[in-house]
Amino acid sequence: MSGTRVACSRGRRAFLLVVWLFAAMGLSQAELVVAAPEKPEPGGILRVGNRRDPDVSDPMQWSSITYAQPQYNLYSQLIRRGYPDETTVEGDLVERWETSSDLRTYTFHLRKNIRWHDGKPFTSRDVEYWVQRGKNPPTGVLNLFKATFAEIANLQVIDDHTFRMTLVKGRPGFLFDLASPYNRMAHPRHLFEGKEPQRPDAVNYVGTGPFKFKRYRRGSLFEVEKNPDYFVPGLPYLDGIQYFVTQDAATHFSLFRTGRLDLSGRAAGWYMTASQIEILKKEMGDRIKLSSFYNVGWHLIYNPTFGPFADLRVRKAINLWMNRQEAIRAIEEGLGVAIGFFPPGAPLAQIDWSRIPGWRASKDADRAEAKRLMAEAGYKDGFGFVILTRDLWTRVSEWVVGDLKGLGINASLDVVDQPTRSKRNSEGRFQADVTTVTGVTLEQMQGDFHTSNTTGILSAWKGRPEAANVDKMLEAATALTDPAERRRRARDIEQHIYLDQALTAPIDTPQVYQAWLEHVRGYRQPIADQSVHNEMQWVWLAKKR
Amino acid sequence: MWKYMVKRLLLFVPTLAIASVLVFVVMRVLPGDVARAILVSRETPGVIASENDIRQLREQLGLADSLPVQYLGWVRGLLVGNAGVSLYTRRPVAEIIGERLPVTLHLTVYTVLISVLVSVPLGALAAVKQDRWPDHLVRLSTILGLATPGFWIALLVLLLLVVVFRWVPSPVYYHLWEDPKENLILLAFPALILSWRFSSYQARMVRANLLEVLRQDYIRTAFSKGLADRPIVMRHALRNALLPVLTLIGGELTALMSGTVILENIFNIPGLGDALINAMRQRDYPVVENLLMFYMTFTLTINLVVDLVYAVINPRIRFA
Repeated sequence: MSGTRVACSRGRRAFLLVVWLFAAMGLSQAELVVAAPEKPEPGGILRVGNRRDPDVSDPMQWSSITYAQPQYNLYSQLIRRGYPDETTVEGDLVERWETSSDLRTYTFHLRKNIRWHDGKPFTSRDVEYWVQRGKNPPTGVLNLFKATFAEIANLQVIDDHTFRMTLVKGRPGFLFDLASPYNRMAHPRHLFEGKEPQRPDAVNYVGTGPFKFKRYRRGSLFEVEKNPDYFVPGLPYLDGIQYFVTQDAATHFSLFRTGRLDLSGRAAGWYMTASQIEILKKEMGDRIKLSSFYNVGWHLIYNPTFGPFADLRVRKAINLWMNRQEAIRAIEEGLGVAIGFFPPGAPLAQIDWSRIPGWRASKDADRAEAKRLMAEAGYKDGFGFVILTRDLWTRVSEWVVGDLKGLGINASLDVVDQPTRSKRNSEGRFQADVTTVTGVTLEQMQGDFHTSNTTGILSAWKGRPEAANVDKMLEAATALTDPAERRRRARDIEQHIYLDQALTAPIDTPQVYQAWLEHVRGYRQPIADQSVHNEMQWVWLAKKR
Repeated sequence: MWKYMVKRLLLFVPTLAIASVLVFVVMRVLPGDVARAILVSRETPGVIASENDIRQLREQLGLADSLPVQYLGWVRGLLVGNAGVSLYTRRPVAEIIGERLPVTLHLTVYTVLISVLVSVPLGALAAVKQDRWPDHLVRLSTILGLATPGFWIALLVLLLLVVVFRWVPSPVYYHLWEDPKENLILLAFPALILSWRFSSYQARMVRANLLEVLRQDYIRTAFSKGLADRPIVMRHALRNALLPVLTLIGGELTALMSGTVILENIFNIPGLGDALINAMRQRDYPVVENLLMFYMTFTLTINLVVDLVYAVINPRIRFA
């Protein structure tokens, strides 16, 4: 009996050892599977939310993510913004390029296997036509991006796959601007030349992108399908994408919440709010993924013709007084940051704003200093002014009104729609205005801050020495090619605008969230610009587990 | 009757003329400039429009002419059947209306059908059972229907669907002839919500009218002759009590055509209201102006049709 028991015990031990070994092997295999990069699985239809109707189909006439998001996948571009660093550029239709030392001449080499969706080959002649059309849009056709085209003095076709662009003047930021996601090739020469459509919705969706147009049900659905002849072998992974038109942000959220969308859409007002994120986490747990980026930052801008704002001490006092952490809580439900221009994650973001007086969380000393400055400027009892406000942005302006009360400043709102605001702003008919800034490069900063932009942050400062300095600094910085020097200058300009001269008061920069279901892989998020990285050729759907 | 009809049709002309001036002037005096709205978008980094660009676009869109010239151009276009094009998409407005109208008509017809099917029996029941629990129940439900805003109920319904059933209708709209099931599923909820309000009006109207008719001498005579209750109510009283409801339905049709805006938004229905909201947001003058003119013409026509039908149904009515 005992011998048998011993034998059983030994056998059991041996058995357990074998089980343990197998288990350990299994475990380590499982670990290996998890650690190894996942192999993209082809197939499937991705369902994405889209704010309103994408009813303008000509990319030269797009001005909104509403049109752009679903149509990015139809049209490729010569070069595109890099990933993950969107301040760099990389080839799309173009395989490689050479730049002359004076930055005036660019020789581009196209990939050799590109075809339009209708089967016709894509050649340098198509690029030539695209540039001509961009420079001189036919009557009745608008080109919102003609500034980039105006820089191109000449395009010389060398052969079917090589062309040379000569600029009016060399500029380091040219390639970055050319890589703007809005510069899409949607105008096949063989379809457009001599029969230019007059309607911005009349472009026939023939591009060279990873997906082809399938159908568009106005008000409901924009659908694209896989382009089997896409010039990058193996891509795209998806069989197609359905962009659902959602007229209302709450409806958009309901669609995601009930699993009718795989990916929530990009667009101001359509991003997930803090309370929505909380609901999603509670209801869907790890079945959803969230990622965020910094889309636009809110700024209070001044018109120096209004007495108090010409005084540096008043502007500095406002910067010191503003409780930006409170603004993030009140305006953005806690999802935001207090910064200057460059958002966290942008290569040019260098200032640690959490330590800067006025931006830091601790307010007592800064507020005392703000009051002292106001008294010194002769405004001990404060003053009143009117904030020009776009109708959709009143929540931000109202917060400013409330916050500045403690400093003795009685602000009131003049609420108007965007076209009126823009007109009044360009004519300098305002005392203060709430506006947005966005960007990750010096060129984008120049777009927002150079006084030549009639609706820019400093448009009302044109001709004043403080702004002339900014113009000069921006012009000098954007003419540089050395990345380290550009980085140093970017820091100097931020320091000059926000801290030394306090030419504008940043309020906060919201952190916007997009959500997607767990099985969506390969989706690319931007750092700051929502129009970047909307292409879906790398996206794939893992089998639902 | 023909004379009456021609007179009413002739009255259309000055009414629409005055309306067109009002619509045109109101749209143009509103602050905002569509050329600027198209060109100046803070959403698009790098798009910087100069005043010259804005002026050129304004000229391209025909907005540089004086207001009277623009107005006359618009009216001239309407008279020859050309309602103009959208300033944003350059699509003919007639095409936009033609595309959206069937959607709103679907919703309107469903709503009216449900309202009539619900309100007439309920109103009759409440009248016949006056001051008893069915009457109290109907009155309570109709008061609630009148007092509760449709959009609020819509939001609650949507929330209920999401939270309890983890389901919402598909966001893609299909016409009845394309996919009857999807069409009914998407439109059922807004139609039910809208019809609650309208059936409340109608049920109260049916109840009040029926009570009045039931007190008429001829009904009392019918009762005294020993006729059964049901034939008296159904055959004699209800028919007469329903006549004013017809006028109400006419009003409902016009109200629904323009009154489904918010529900269309909430339930993602691409109807006329949705088109109007988008066009107003964008200051797309031709779309807004022509849509409003369409609504007015529709209202006038429906009112005329209701009056004529009323006369056909009720022989006591003669047109002067």
